[in-house]
Amino acid sequence: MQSLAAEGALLGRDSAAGKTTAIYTRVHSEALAKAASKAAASLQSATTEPGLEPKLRRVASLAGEVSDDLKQLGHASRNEQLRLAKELSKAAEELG
Amino acid sequence: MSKPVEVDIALGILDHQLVDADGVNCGKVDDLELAGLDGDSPEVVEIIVGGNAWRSRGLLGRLAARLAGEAVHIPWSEVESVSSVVKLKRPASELRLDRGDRRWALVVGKVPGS
Amino acid sequence: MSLKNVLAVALGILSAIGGFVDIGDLVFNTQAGATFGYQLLWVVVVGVVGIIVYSEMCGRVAAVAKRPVFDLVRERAGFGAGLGTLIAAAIVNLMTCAAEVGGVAICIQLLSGLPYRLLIVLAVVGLVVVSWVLPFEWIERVFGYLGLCLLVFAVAAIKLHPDWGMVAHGFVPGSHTGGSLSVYLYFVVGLLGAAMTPYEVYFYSSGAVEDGWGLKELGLNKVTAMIGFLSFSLMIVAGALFLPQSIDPQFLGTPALAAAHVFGKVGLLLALVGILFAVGGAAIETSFSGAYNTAQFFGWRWGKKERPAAASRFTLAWVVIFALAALVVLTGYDPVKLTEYSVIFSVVALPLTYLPILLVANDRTYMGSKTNGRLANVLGVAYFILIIAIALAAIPLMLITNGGQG
Repeated sequence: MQSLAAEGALLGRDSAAGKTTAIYTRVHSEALAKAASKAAASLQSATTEPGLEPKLRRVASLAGEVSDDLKQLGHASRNEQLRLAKELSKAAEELG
Repeated sequence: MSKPVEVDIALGILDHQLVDADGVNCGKVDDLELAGLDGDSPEVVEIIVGGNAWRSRGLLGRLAARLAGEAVHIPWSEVESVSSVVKLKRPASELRLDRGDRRWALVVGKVPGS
Repeated sequence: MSLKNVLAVALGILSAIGGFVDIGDLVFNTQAGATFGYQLLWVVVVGVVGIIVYSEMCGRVAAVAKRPVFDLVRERAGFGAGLGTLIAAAIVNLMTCAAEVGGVAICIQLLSGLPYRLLIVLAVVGLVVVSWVLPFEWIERVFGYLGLCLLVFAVAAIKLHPDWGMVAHGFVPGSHTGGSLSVYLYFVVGLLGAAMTPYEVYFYSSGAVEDGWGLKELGLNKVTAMIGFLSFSLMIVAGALFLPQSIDPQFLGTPALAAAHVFGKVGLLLALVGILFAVGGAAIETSFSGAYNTAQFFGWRWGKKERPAAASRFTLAWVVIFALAALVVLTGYDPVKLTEYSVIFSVVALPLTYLPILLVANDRTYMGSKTNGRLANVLGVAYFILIIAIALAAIPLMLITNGGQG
C-alpha cells in the first residue's frame, strides 16, 4: 500500500511537471488505483486483535484515501496533481 | 540376449532424421521392423514413420499412437545412405512421407504470401 | 577484419542488445533494484556469463554438426526423454510468450490509451503478420534497433547520480541489507532465470543453422555480453530512484516512470518504445523457439527461410503458440505475475533444457574434433551444478517469499 502511494506521489509530481504524457498518466494511475482499491477493500474488511484495532482502522482509512487520490490523479489538472501528490506522499510516510 | 549387429543398427538409426533425395526433412525413424532375429543375421526390413509408429515406444508413445493414423512403411531398400541423417533414394512425395505438410498446406496456403 | 565483417559484428552487437532483453529481465532487474539497491548486480554478471557459455556451445554445435541442439535431443536421449524435454520446454515457452505478449499490450496501452483486451488481440495479430511477412534479418533489425531505445535507461542510470561506490560494491557478492535472506535468494534465482532463458539459446541455435553459420561466424557469439549492460541499467535506476522512495515496482509502467522522471516526455517515449520492441522481439523468439522444438522433435520441415506453406506444420506451430499466448493473457491474469511465474518455471526446467546442450557439445559423433575444450567443460559443468541448485530452490523460495514480497 505504501508503495502504491509513493509511486502515485512520484507520478503526480512528474505529471504536474509535464514530464509524462496525459495518456500515460491516466493509464498508469488507473492501474495504481485499481490495485489500491483492492488492497483498501481487503484492509477494510480485515480484523485483528483488539489492541491493534485503532491502528488497523487508521491504515484502512488511509488506504481508502490513497485509493481515491489515485483515482483522481489521471484526470486532474496540473495543480490538482501537485496537491494529490503531496497527500499521497504524506500517506506513504505514515504507512511506512 | 543381445545380438551385436541388431543392437548397433537399432541404436544407429532409431530416432534419427530422415531426409529425402532432395535433402528435405521428412520425419524421424519412429520405429524399425526387424527380421531374422532368431537367426544369425538380423536385418532391418523397413523403417516405420509417423502415424501410430510409436506403439512400441513406451507409455507416452502408446498414448500418442492412439491419436494418430496409419504409419508409413519404408522398405530398407529405399535407403541411400546412413550418416548423421538417414538419406532416402527418392523424394518424399513418392514415398508418401509428405502427407503431413501437404495436408496442412491446404490451410496455411489460403493465407496470402505463403 | 574486412569492413563487411566489422559491420556484421556491429550489427550483431547492436541487435543483440535490443533482442535479448525481455520482460523477465525487465521485471526482475527493476524489482531487484527497488528491493536491494545495487547489491544484486553481481548476479547479472553470473547470468550473462552463463548464457554466453551455453550460447557458445550451441553456436559451435550449429556450426560443426550443422544441426540445432534440440534436433539432436531425440537422437541422443531417445523418444521418451526427448518428448519429456519437448513438453517441459513447450509449457515454459508458452507461459513466457504469454508474458511477453501481455507486456507488448501494456506498452501500447500506455502509449495509446486504447483498451487492454483489444490490444492483446492487436498485438498478437501484429506479431503474426510481422513474422509472416518479414524475413528474419529484417525482424532482427527492426526489433533490435528499436529495442535500443532502452539505452535511455543506461543514460538515466548515470544522470540519477547513484553512489558509484555502492554500485561497484554491488558487483561483489557479500552480505546484504534491506531484506530477508530468502527474498535475496529469490531474486538471485529470478535474475539468473531471466538472464539464462532457454528459448533464447534454442532460437539462436536454429537460426545459426538456418543461416549456415560456419566456425568463422562464431565470433559474433561474444557479443551477448551486451545484454548485461541493459540489465545493470535497469537495476541501478531502480536502486537510485525507487528504493529510496519505497516504491515496489508491480507494474510494467513503473520503469518507464523512471525514464520520465529523468528525461521528461522524450525519456518516457523512448522507454516505452524500447520496452515494446524488446519484449515484442522476445515474443517472436519464444513462439518460434517453440515451433523449432516441435518440428525438430518430429522431424518436420522447419525454418523461416522456407515458404510458410511448404513447412506448413512448422508455420502452424508458431501461429498456434501466438494464439494460445493471447488466450492466456486474455484471461486477464496480471502480466507481471505471469512473468514472475514464467521465469521461475523456466528455472525449474533449466536442467532439462540445458543438459542436452552440454551433452551434444561434448559428443564426438556430432562434433568431431570440435568438442568442448577444458574451459568450456569446466564452465559448462560449473554452471550446470548452479542450474540444478537454483532449479531445486526456485519453487520453495517463490512460495516462502510469496513471490519476492517477503
